[in-house]
Amino acid sequence: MATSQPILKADDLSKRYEDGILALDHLNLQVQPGEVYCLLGANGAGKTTTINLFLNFIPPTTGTCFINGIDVTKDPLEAKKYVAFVSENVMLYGNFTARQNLDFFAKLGGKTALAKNDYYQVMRRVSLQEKAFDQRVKNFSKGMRQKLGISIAIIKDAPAVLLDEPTAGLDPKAATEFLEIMAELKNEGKAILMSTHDIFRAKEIGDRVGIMKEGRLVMERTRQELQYEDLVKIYIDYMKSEPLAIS
Amino acid sequence: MFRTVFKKELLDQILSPKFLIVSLLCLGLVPASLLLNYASFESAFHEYDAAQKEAKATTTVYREPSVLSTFGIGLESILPKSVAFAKFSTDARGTQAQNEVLSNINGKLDFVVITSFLLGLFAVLYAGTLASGEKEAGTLKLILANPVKRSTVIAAKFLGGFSVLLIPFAVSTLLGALLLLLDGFPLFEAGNLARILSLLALSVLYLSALFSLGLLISTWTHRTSLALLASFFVWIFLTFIIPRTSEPIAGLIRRVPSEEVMTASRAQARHQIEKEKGKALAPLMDKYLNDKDRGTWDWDGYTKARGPVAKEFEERLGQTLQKFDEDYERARSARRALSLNISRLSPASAYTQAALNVCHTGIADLENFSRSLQAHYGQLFQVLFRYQFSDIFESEDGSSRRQMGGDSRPSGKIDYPKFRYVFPAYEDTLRAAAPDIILLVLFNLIFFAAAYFSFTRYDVR
Repeated sequence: MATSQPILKADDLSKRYEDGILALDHLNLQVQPGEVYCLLGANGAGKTTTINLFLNFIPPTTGTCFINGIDVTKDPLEAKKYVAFVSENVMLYGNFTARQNLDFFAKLGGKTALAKNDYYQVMRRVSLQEKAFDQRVKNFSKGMRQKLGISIAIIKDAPAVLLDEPTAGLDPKAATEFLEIMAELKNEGKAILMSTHDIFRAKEIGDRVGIMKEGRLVMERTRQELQYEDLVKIYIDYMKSEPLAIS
Repeated sequence: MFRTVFKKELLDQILSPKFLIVSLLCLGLVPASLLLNYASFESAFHEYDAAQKEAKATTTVYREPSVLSTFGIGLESILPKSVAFAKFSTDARGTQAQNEVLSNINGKLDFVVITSFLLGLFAVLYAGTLASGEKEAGTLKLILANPVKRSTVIAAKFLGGFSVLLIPFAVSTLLGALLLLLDGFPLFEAGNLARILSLLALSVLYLSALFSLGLLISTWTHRTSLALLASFFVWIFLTFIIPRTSEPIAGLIRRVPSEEVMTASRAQARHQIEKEKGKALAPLMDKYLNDKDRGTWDWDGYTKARGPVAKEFEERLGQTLQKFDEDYERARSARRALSLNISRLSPASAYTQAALNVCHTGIADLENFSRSLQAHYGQLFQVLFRYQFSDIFESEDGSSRRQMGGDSRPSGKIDYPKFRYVFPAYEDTLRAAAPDIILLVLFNLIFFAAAYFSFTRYDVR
């Protein structure tokens, strides 16, 4: 993989909530263009907090998040131009059709001059059924909604994509289709940071895999390294290990 | 960005089932209430007109009902249809409420009530889920993952959502106004149009305050169910509890004797002075109206001779009773003002007070009517009551009592003063409604500013 300027960068990032819980403890990570970084970890490990910090939904206690070199705390609006987001179990606007949902979020993302066909093309790309394009989203299955969620990320055409548990609750076919799209985006040069519980798919899609525990990145492996190691065993060993000392 | 979020909000709300429900309710209730209340006004006006035509010049006066009670009944149903004057007393007769027992129990439906209760509830519930609903659906995160300011989102949500609420309000009001016109409502007469437009402006101001309040609740909650529940309780508190408890609370703070106690005290004071007057007039009575020999009564002599003696007592009686009435009215007015101020903690109450004043059925009109009656009594006193006398002769132990009444007026036709109730001018109404209008503006500013700042710190996770 060619090394270049990282699109996503967490620099000594920590987050302690008002109730005193340390959700993230001095995290350092980088995601290069054309790279998929999978963050693994149990609930409360700090995966979603990392994504929330990148999106400036919460301020960091220490450290900095950079998107395309822009400090997200200092200039969040500029930084958000370069990132697309797919969340877990997004409901979208049930009274809107798939195209109306896509149109709204495309415009928010700065794509104001798209034609009807542009929306259809994106929805075809994620294998959403043609008949669903102009149907109200409230009748969509979770898989269909998730595909529409990816369409929203694709249509923004941002260099970075953040995904929070995107395959949670999807059936195996839908999850496989989802990962195929991720692979396509990666090949287009997108920097993808994905939080997931799914060890097998993380190994399958991830160029790098990080394991988080109690807010710390306790392990990081490249795809090459994982060819010779058993990710499942590593993950379970880390989960079973003694709690970390609280800093 | 603002346009995008505004258009989304508009479309999302219009496509929701709640929009259909609100529209159907408004389209059914607003025109129907306007037509029914106009019919009720017409009936009251015909009664008034007939009474005016048939009435001879007397001491009884009639109150013209307000045509704008079509929009807000307010005090119209409890104000008297006629008032009969006598020396030192007035007797209010006949109210609409006496004929409408069930309406007294259940309350009547009019435009002001529909706006205050029904649309007010919809406003607070509509807005109550704007932020929490998006958070629950996960769409708020998707929106804010884009380069859009939170301030833009909240402003667009407010304007978009509020515009949707105004659609059924505006359409049903227009339809109602059109039907009223066809029914003969004098829309373009006597400043009615200006007052109705003012009423609509007040309604928009009130609904916008409640919408902002709902938005504030929405930014304080993270679940739709909780937001709806909180909005509903706040609405109950503002539209039922505060307005309905303000008067008893004011009564506890400023105690005013009941009308019965006041009337009894007034009668006692009157009796005392009448008794003193009787003592002073007793020699004259013996002289001119000797009970032993009725055939030799010199009534004219008595009437002439009693004048200088009774004058002092009658003046004292007039002043005493006037002071009684003024003190009592002052105490009641102070309690009413306190009660009004307490109730003004609620936007619903501020709106209702201002709206009813605009419809000529509010407290400003009650006070104006009361002043008109006082002025008319003064005129009647000059031409009639000051000549009337009633002398009471009572023994010390109260065992014997004799009453003589008469009229010392020079002969000739009595020139009764004409009475026609003049509604307050538009400027006077605005002056009376000014505190409530200012409060509604303040409620808007406070609630929206609080919602705005709360949303900028809203946890979207």
